Amino acid sequence: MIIPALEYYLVLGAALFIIGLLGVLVRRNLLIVFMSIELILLGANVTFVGFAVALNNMLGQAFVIFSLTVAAAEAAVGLAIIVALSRHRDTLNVDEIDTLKG
Amino acid sequence: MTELVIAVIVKSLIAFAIPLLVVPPLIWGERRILGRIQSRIGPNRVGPFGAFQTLADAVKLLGKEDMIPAGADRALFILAPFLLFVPSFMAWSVVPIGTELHIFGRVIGLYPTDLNVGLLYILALTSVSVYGIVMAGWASNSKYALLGSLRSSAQMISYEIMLGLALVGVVVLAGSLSLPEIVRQQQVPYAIPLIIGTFVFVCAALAETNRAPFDLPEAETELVSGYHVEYSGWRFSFFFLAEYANMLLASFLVSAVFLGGGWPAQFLEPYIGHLWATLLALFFMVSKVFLFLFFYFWLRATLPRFRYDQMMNFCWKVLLPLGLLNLAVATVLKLTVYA
Amino acid sequence: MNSETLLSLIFAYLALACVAFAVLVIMLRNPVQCALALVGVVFHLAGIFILLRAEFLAAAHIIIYAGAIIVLFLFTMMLLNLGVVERARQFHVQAPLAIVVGAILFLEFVVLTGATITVGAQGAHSPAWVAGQGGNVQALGQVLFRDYLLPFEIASVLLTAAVVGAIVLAKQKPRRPRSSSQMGVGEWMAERYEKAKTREQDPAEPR
Repeated sequence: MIIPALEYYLVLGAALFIIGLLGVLVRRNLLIVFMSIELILLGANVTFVGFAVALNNMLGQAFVIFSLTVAAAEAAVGLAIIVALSRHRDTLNVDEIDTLKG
Repeated sequence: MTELVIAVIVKSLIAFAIPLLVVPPLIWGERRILGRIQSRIGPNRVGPFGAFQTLADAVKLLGKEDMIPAGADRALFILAPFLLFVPSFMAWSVVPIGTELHIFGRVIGLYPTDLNVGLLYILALTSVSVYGIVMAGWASNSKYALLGSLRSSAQMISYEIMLGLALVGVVVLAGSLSLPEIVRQQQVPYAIPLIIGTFVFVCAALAETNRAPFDLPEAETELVSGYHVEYSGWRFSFFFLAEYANMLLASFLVSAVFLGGGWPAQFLEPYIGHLWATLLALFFMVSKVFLFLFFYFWLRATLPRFRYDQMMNFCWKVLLPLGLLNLAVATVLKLTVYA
Repeated sequence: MNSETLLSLIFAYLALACVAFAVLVIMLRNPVQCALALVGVVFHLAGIFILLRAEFLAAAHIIIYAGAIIVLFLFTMMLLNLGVVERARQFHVQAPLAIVVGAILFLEFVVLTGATITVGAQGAHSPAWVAGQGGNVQALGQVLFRDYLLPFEIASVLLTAAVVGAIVLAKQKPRRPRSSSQMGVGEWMAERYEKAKTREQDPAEPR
């Protein structure tokens, strides 16, 4: 049994997802774009756990662990790229990082 | 129902009171012991043997002007002491001082709560306390404070992993993450089969609480006092209180998880009865805690501070392999002796 | 008040706080404050997981997100110079359009959840089964290490790759060039290329 109903959890997950998506689309600071990606992953996690509990299937919860792994790996590599980028170009503004040639 | 609520309230008050009441004598004890070791006298003016020195200090701190430096990020500067203080007190809600007491036909657990993810809860709160330090250093707008907080965030992230790794061995043997259950499972204190894990845990706990020889974040001689350099008055006392509460927490954890809590009082139960055995267990637990605290002070008086690169090397090149070895030992033991 | 209303109220608070902090993450100017808002999101989300009786995941979220990922963010921010970034314009030109599209997408989500949700077949892991295993942690361990062991091991490969990748990317180039015998082929060619380029740019130097 799940209180309140599953729908509420799904709407919460969707809200976090959309806010994260907006952050990616709207913000110009690369660091905040990365944080928004974390928000998207968090939204997905809520949905996973909500379904796992509603359907009595532990796989959903096990999957969140993999999602956490991906989030950690993504943050490590992403921040390394940001550090390298800021050393190289001295900016974190996504609009200015648009050349293909370093 | 009402009874339950009252029990919960009383337990939470006790859990909150332990660090608050034990910390002032602890600070006094540390200064006295350090004095002895360094052939000084230590504080001896206020009260018998200087026992009220900490109270006098606290009154002094409360009377001081509360300053916020120019150019500081006001909101974060104000928030930082609480970010450090709150987790270190929240962690007390799962710390067991004993197992169960059967009295007047009731069972009273000598722990505030028995959370089935108790160990993880403590690890989570330890990881959160990094924010207080990072924010304090960053918001102060001071070079020394920023350097201190940079050092300490790197140190705390690294050593937190070792803390968890050392505890994994215990979790494997006990088969549970609940602290009272871990205490109950120890027929022999885990410090004996998992001696390597105990070493790793103690080192990591020293580093997590920023104590000597890992006190780089506050290193008085090079960074003045690190991340809380710009704090004064009662805000400073919050940092102080949190540090000592964390130390006390680490001592309780070591005693409960590795030294078997009230061990070996439970074997005496058939001979001296339940009540006396429980009291004896409490006594053993508390003496282990104080022995470990004495060890803390002793180390501070004895060992020189690590250099930054030595500290990092020690973490990743000594403690990490040892922690993995500990895990291997624990799995082998689980399959053979503890099967 | 019965326990169901109480739980619903707790959920309402946690969910609203989650959304509010998430909005702060994408609205605040200073990245450090954004990171702190993200910590707020993670904490309230952990509360929601506890409401769902997924205690292990609640603790894991706090340990991994609040304890590792966001601290890493803060660490990076302290290493980089933030003063310039903060004063710059914060939002893209297409922000209004993005907000409209986002709102439409969100409405679509809500309508779809309300309309078409049919709870499918119940799995084997009922609350009774979970309690039989000894709790959420034990049950999750059973599923993860018995049924999905291989994916779990592969996840560790992913983490190793991430660690190696992060070190390679963020490592500064060595100040002193190593002797050519220690150099890899690619490095050696890159160095030759660099030398050739500087010669081209500087015609005064004899070939």
